Amino acid sequence: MISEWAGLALPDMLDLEAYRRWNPDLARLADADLVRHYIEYGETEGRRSNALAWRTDFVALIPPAADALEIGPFNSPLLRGPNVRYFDRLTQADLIERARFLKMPAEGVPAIDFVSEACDLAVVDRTFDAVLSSHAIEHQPDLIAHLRAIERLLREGGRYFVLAPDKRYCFDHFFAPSTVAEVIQAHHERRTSHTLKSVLDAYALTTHNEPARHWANDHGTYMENVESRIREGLTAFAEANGAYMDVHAWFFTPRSLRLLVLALQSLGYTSLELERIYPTRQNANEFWFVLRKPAAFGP
Amino acid sequence: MISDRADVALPQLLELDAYRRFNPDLAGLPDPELVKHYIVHGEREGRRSNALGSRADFAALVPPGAEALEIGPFNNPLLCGERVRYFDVLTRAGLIERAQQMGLPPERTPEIDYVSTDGDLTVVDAVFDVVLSSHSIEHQTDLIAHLNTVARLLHEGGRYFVLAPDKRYCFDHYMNPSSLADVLEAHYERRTRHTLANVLSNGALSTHNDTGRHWAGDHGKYLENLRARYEATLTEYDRRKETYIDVHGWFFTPASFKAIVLALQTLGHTSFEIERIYPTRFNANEFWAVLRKRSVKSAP
Repeated sequence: MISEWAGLALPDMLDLEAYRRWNPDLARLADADLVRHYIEYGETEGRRSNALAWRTDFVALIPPAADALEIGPFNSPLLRGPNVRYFDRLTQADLIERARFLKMPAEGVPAIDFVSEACDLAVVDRTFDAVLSSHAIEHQPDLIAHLRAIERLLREGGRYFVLAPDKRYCFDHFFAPSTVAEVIQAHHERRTSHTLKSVLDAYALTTHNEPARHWANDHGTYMENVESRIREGLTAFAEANGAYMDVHAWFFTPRSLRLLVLALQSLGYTSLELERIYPTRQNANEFWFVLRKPAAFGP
Repeated sequence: MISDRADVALPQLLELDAYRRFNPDLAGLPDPELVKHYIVHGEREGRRSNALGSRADFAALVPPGAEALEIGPFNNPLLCGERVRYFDVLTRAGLIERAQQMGLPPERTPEIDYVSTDGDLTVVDAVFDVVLSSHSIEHQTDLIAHLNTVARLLHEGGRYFVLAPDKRYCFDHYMNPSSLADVLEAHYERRTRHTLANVLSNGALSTHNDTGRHWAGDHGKYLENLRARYEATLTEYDRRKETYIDVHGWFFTPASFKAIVLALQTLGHTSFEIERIYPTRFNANEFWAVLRKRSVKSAP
């Protein structure tokens, strides 16, 4: 089935008029210089370069009439409307209870259409024009399996809208971007829970989570209190005894993500294509990208 | 037994006279400026900053009077002399044959005192003032176990001289420096084979090994011929399922090596202290480290 929205136009990463408008210091640069400026400075400086200003603008790229699935909305779904379905680990009642337990507002918890405690997307028995996840992809023990599951949920020409942390500007600052070799190993192991390495990373080697400080080059101290934090990580890992622990398995920058998807594609691990990548904006800690399931051209 | 035969003074990382002598462009700088220059530029530029000019100079820090063990000399030992013993994965005859097969000169292959085909250092039944290894530590599947085994082969106060590739300037350029969590995981798993990720990194993600080009900023193309290299590597990995595949398990820069050893020390995983780290020199692809086994103060 081909998605009705297969032909949807998404803003370019660099839209020259918007780049000029949002960056008055560049107003007088000619087009060619503007492109060069973005490549050399604008992207690294996190300058606004298109119509998208906020994560809400990114999410609004999904047309209200499109059939959409949001993964893991918890108490603050990004998508709303009659054509939106939700997938989460718990039912609405349990999520409300969990939100209250965490002293978080519970009013926003939507009715959950598809529930899987093991986060198994195979419980979703229909297809969509769009799937969206926010700060979920970096938690997947087996990233390739996740992409494949998404692929099955998408109609041809359908899209996966992803909001993911940029490891440079969050508590993952000191980690190296994940390599395609690590991603493949996780897939070959059919990993369903996180490794000791990921747990120790999360417990002992993370740093502060203030994006503005990271943007100002203040990344905190590497290995602060490493001894007690490693011990806590080891204890927690032992107590979990193989059960799922919710930590980051993958660390991305917009650039590393691009190379990763290209590599997985060329190795036949995914047919999803990277349609857009919107790099991290100044003082933000996430970037946005869109993967598209190719549409087979009919006669 | 405390080793004093090995108790020599090692050159400092930065010796101002030497730094001036070997860097004529800096001759006019006063001392504080010189120190600042080294910290800000000199180390990164790989400038010579002390008496050590080559790996031979580094190896020559091992005093001739010291009882020493060289790990993995193959056809080209760095230590020579009557007090030196050798450990390798083959006997001398086996190593000579291997060198000949690889078109390498076999003449300098020494008599091997301790042989273990799977690289198990516990076959060594003596204790030394010095252990030295060259381009060996990065191959260890369990780095902590390796350090602990070497520590057991040393007298208190004894030293482990390490020559290790700097991943930035060899075929490992595109790999991430190993993290403390990687090292700990390998230890808790009692890892004896390299991970698929390491085998794939080596087989499919490595780049050229031309040190001069790396120093010149030419690192080759990332992910070149990915598909063909990936398939060949995976086939090899599956074919050799249960056997050891010899790849780099660890990727270091001088700074990342230092951070890992310091953390292992804090965590009580090693009795080694970092005595010196001599960073990678311009147009070289290795750095040198001296780890020292802490001497336990005996009660009066």
